[in-house]
Amino acid sequence: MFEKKIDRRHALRLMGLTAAGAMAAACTPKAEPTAAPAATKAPDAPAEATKAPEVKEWTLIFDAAGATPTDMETAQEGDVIQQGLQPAADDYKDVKPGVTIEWYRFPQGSNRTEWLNARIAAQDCPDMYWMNADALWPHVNKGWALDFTEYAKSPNPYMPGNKNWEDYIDFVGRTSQIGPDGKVYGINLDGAGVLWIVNRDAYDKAGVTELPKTWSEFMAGNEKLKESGIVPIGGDFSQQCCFTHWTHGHVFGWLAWDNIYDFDDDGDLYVTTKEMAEYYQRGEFPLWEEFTRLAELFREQEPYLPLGYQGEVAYRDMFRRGEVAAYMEGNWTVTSFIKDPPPFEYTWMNYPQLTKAEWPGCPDDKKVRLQGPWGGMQYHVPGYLPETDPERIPVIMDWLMFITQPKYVEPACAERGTVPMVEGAEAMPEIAPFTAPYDRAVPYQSWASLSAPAYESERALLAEYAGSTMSNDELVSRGKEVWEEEVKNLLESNPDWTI
Amino acid sequence: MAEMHAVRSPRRGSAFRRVAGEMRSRWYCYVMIAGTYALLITFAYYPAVSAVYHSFTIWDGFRPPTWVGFGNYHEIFTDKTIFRSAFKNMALLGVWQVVRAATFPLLGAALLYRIKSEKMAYFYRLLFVLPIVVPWVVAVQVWKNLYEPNIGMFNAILKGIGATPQAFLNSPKQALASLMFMGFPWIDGVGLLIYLAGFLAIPLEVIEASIVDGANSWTRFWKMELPLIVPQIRLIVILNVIGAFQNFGWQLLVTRGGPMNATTVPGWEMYHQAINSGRYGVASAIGTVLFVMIFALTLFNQAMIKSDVEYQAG
Repeated sequence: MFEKKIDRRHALRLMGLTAAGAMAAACTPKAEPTAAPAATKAPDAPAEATKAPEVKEWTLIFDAAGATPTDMETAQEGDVIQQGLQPAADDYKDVKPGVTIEWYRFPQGSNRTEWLNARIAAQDCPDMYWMNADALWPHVNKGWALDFTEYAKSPNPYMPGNKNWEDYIDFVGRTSQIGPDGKVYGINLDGAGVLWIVNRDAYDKAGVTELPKTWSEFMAGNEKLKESGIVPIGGDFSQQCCFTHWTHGHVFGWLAWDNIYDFDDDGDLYVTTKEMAEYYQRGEFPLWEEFTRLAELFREQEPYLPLGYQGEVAYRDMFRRGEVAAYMEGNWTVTSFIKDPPPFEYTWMNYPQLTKAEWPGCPDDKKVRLQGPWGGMQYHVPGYLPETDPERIPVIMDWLMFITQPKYVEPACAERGTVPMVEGAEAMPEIAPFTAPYDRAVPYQSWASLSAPAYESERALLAEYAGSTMSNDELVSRGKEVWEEEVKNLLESNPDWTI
Repeated sequence: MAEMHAVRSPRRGSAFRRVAGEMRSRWYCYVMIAGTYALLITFAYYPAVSAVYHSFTIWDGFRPPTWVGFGNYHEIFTDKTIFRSAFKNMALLGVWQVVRAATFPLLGAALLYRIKSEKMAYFYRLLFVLPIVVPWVVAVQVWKNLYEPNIGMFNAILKGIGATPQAFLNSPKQALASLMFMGFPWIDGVGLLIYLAGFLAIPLEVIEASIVDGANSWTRFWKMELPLIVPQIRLIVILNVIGAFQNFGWQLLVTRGGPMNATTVPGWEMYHQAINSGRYGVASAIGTVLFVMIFALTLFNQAMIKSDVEYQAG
């Protein structure tokens, strides 16, 4: 056999050449596809939505959040199995054979804003992602979300009649997607509401036989519950959802009953971040007297909160163990409570109504409800697509129009107990308490918060106030510092909001 | 090889020509390490230089930056949260982390070093080192659950003995101390191995001589062993100073800087400003300040922690 020996120098040289070749290959730009998109601008004719190329193969990565089908490969015994939008994806194969829907599994425990910030910066975001629109607005002018306006105002070929796509969506869901610049930045197919879940047995044991309807009844009941040895209110001031901002949302709805809409210039029944920033610059917002009263009401609840309420407390677990008497919960938990009920009788209760005894401006006998667009099916598209892959946009829009059909939205909502926001889709009967009539909806989860970081600062201030003897003057003074700082930061990234 | 250089260099003239010639003759070596340097420059040096530049700008990570001079530095040195709370907490946690890392594993290693039975020494070493295999994140979550004020084990014990339950991590007054207590008994496996390696490298004749001279165990530790493992102590101190300044893992996983900013540190504020608020300019300024501080302290450590005693191993 022929053998040739090479010395070490030649061997190294050979390896060097190989490494150089590998590096050159790795650094060579990717070859352009033969059907390279010529346009760099997003196709702006919405009619093209239904003409998604059928020959070309597409895979759409979909972060469907609450409507994501259960991953059967990782599902364990006892897990709640949900179909989500899988039936729609299966049917869509017949309609658009070239399009495949791939479910994106959002990393559990991650923070949405942090995740999205990284994904948008790296331009590797799923083609459709979930996010509450109010969390999106401070970033929308950085290109985090695609402008849906022309599609939203075009007919949806998959729905009966000849209405524009957005006209099939409930008013709250529709307006929730209108950004600070008046453009539409998403599609919202379901909504949610909030009530108190009450350990009925604990209430009875403490002698609270009637569910409290007013704030004073609520506080009197809490005192009895505390005396009976149970923690009356489940909640904390940590970042976990949702005691602080839900209290904020409900209570501010009453405190600012007469004037909250004075700051709603765009008529979407909500004071947006932009509106707040503008009215702050005019010196008219926030409403400091109402803010102070809100803080006082937090302080009134402080004796009835669990130990360690200034940080994260496992009050949901405590409720199930019978150690907490009541806490606020969203309708999306109804199904899990039905499937896995706690070992006691429980019921749902409206937020106790504030009356003139708590604040002179409160209306008589009015119900305020956190009832908004923040379900699990609120979808946005990355704003960089017009530059990176414009041909993909009509394909995505067509799919989103397809899933708007009630036959897909209704079962997906029923699986999670959310409220369908699409014409023709009905809510499951078990969540009737959440769809009962109310007088004012708080369409987002709190009023008067500029941004997530601003709210963190506010929450820390409220927590400190609740657990201390801080004076109201100091509260307002420090509250103004928070707003000053946050409005400055907000205008830094949204200079066009400066007045 | 050194002799070849000595022969070639006078013939080729200047040092530059000598280096160029060397590079030409060994070009394949440079090609082979080029990839490493390319990655290093791309992912280590370029971001660092970019951060220094962006620390003088307002930048949201998406739109072009706007030059603001020292505005971001002014902000971080006047902001109550960042300057007062975060830097104060960093100093406290940093001092504790360095003391903890420098002393407790040292004590553990010194005790292990004194165990005469090889089997027992191996057994105890294994006991100390085994926890390394538990992912840090898991360990942190375990501690978080232990601290939970209502359903955690620590308060169950306190209630069991009739003591008042505490809020621990959920209390602004107790959170920092609770963070410091995490990881008890604070004998880090890696640190212990580094110290133990130092002890084992001490020449046996040195130890034997001290025994012959009548030194007891305590005297040997203070007068002989400790001075001889100063390089290990220096390594541990430097690594932990750097770690203490950069780390915000506890904040990210456990406290989110709270409650009420009681546990925030500059590293967390940097992350928070960049990722939550999209204020990369301010985040870069915090990072630059941290870099300067770490660099200065590392130089300081190098200068201050010196070993006067050197020995020939083996």
